[in-house]
Amino acid sequence: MKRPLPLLAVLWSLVFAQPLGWGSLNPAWAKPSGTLRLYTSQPDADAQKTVAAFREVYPEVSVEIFRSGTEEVISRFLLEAEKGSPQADVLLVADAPTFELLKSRNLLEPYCSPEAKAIAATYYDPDCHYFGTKILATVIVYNTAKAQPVDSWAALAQVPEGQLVMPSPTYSGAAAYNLGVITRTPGLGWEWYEALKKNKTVLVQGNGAVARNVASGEQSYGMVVDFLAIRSRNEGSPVEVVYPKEGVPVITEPVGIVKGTSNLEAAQAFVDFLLSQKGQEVAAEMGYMPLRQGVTPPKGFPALSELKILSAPAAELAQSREADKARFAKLFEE
Amino acid sequence: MGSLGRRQRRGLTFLGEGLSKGLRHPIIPWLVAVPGLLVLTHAYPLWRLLQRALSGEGENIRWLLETPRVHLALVHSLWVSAVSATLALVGGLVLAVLTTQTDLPGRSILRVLFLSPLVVPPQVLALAWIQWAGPVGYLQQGLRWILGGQGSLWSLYTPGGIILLLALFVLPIAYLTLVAGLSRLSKQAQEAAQLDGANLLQVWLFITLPLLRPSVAAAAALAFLGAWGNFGIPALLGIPGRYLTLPTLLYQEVINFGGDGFGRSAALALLFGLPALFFLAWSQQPQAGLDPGEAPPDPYRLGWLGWLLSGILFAAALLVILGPLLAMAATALLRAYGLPLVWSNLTLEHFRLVLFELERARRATLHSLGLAGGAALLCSGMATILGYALTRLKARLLALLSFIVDLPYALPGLIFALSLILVWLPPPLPGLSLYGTLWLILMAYLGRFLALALQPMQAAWRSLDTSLEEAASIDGASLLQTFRYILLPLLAPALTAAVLLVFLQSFAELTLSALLVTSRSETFGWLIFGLQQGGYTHQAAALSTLLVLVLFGLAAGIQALRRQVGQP
Repeated sequence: MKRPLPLLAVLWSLVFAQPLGWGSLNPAWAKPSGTLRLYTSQPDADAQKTVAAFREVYPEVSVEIFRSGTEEVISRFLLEAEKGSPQADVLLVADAPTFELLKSRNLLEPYCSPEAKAIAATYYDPDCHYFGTKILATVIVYNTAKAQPVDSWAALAQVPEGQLVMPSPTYSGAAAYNLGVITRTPGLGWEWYEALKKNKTVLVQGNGAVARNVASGEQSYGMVVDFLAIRSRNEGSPVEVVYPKEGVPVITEPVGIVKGTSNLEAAQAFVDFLLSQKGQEVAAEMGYMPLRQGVTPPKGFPALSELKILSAPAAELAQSREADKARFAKLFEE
Repeated sequence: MGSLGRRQRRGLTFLGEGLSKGLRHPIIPWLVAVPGLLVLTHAYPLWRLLQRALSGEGENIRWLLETPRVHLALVHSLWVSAVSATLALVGGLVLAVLTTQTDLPGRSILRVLFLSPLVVPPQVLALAWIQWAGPVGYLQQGLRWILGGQGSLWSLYTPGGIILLLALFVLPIAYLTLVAGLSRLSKQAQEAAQLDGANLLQVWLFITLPLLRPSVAAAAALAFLGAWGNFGIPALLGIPGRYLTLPTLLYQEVINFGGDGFGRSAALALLFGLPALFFLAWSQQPQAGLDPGEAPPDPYRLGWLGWLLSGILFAAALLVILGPLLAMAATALLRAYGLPLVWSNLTLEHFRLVLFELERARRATLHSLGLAGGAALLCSGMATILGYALTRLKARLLALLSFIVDLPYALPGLIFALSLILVWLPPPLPGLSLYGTLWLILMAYLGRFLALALQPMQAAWRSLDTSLEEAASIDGASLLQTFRYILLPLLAPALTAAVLLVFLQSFAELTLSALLVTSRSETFGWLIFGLQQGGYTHQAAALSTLLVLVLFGLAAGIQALRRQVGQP
């Protein structure tokens, strides 16, 4: 042992630097590696692009993806967690109330990402269990060949009978989120859903079916997540999108680290990456509205500052979701 | 030993000899291996589901019994499944008779047309139907243009619409099962009856149908159970129509993440077993064996009636099969959803994308070919042995096996996939994890589709008289020889049906894949599910259209080969 000092320094940094948070500051020697298991409901091509961009920055991490519908991803994860061996390291799926539920069941590992500084506090958990990654707003879509634009949710309840289509909250998590938010919004509330019921609003399984039905003209108006409608318009379907003046409920497709992950470093790097300038630009390139300040939204989306957002406390939404859904099902005689 | 009498000792020796001889019987290892595999693919997952349903002091069972929504969904599901299975059975029988027993013009084209719904996932098929016959579909638009007037002429979002689509979806299954039964039906009895003065109708009602009973029972069971567990069709048509069915209710509960949604859906899964029990009791009724048919008799000559029937069938196929498939192809070709179908709006872009840009398509196709091929071979092999055991060994307990085999087929794929997660999440042996691999998906397909092979095979064994095996064994043939030279040729039609059914269904399978597939183990169905679910309707339609085209191409190729060999 001729030079014990450098060796000791290395040992010291291995033992102590990690808890002090130096790992993320000094990636030269603490480069994340190994396998990262990602559960996501992003469309496959988008999930691939996200991972490819992540691996440009962290080439030593190989990412294994389980991709499916939001509902399928959560069911599988919850069942694995119930059996005591969740198979994911990171979740990138669904909405804040769903992550509140996971948090309340102690399934998430808190991590205060330094990248969160550039993001409005409404979009992430103050206890750092999850962070929104994009803005998926629910908006009004209408068929330009068949209908006149309406500019508010209130007016949407007055369109001709049977001409409005929306996803059913009992089948779609996104619609259940909207239900929770809108019924807690003064001026809309349950009365608004009662008006929809009276107006013979058509229910379908998910957002995809809403976008299709309005594009084909089966119904003239729809309540749908914005990126689907904007994509459909950009492709050339006869539809137009309206951000109603009362504001829009938004889902943020949060990312969170699974408690007990076998690759914490890579998981943290993945969270950092999604929130970083680069990660948000990648999301914008794929046609999603970024939520980091200073990243330009893709064509057809409003500027972040112009967006008026309807919201409700995520924990409360999580708690009352099943009761809200049951009340909805009763109202609509589903 | 000394205290034993001579006779007793002889008796014991005999018993011992018999036992060891019995154990050395070449079929015994198989009879042990196949049920052993069944434990892994069927019994254990179902057991875990049952356990989960009963957990929590029977709360889930109480919910099941006391909730009006459950009862409503049960009644709805029984109704739509029973009617659609009956329709499919009648339609399948008519088609099977006309395409195999007569000289109907164009029968080989009709055959593949009516089979084509097998390769289109029900979610995509239902969507194609909406584009064809929905309120703004091509058919209604055309009729409105001809008849004048406004508004919908009919609605698909009704029990009637669900029944029609389910019937079309299970028709090919009933058809293939019946064809297998018909193709080796002896004509001696029919000819004898005709000589005695019976007319064609009497022959059919009193001779042929009773002889065909095992196959009819098998076809009915498969058609009913297939419709019973289907989620895609009631989801697309029943949700807008507010027509709650058991599979859609189960989905609602599975995604009830706040409460014990999984426990409730496990309890709901118990209800899915009810009809399987019924079919079990039905198929256990004794059936007279019959002599195998000799060389296939000449087809009935239909004459001018043939042309008439053929015309009617082609018109029906155009309306209910080709129309929707063309609507699907139109979606695959249209630039954007909802544009009118004119030349300037057409593009091959979506085909180009799925063929050349979808990076995972090639791997997914290879995986699915392997999985579907493996599942088809394994299922039909297992079904041959199980069918033998179930029909020949006459043990009451064995009958339970056929119930266990039917059940995963009757369950919606979602809940069966969840039960597989319960079973395979902990590695069965340390260091050996099937979870997330193709092996688990193969297990899932074996579990789900074995019933599709077992029903026709059981029907085939049931209608084979044991005298054949006995005669062969008296003549000194070994079991393997008997099987190879006597039984296999007679079982061939049923085996063909089994292989085809399992292969085609598992190739485009999507509900199991939606829960079990990871980025190491993509399948073709998973690809379609992802596209459909992410809003890429055109690409999903393009993939499904390609699949149907491949099926048509294969059928045409087989037909051409047959013609060269000189078979009809």
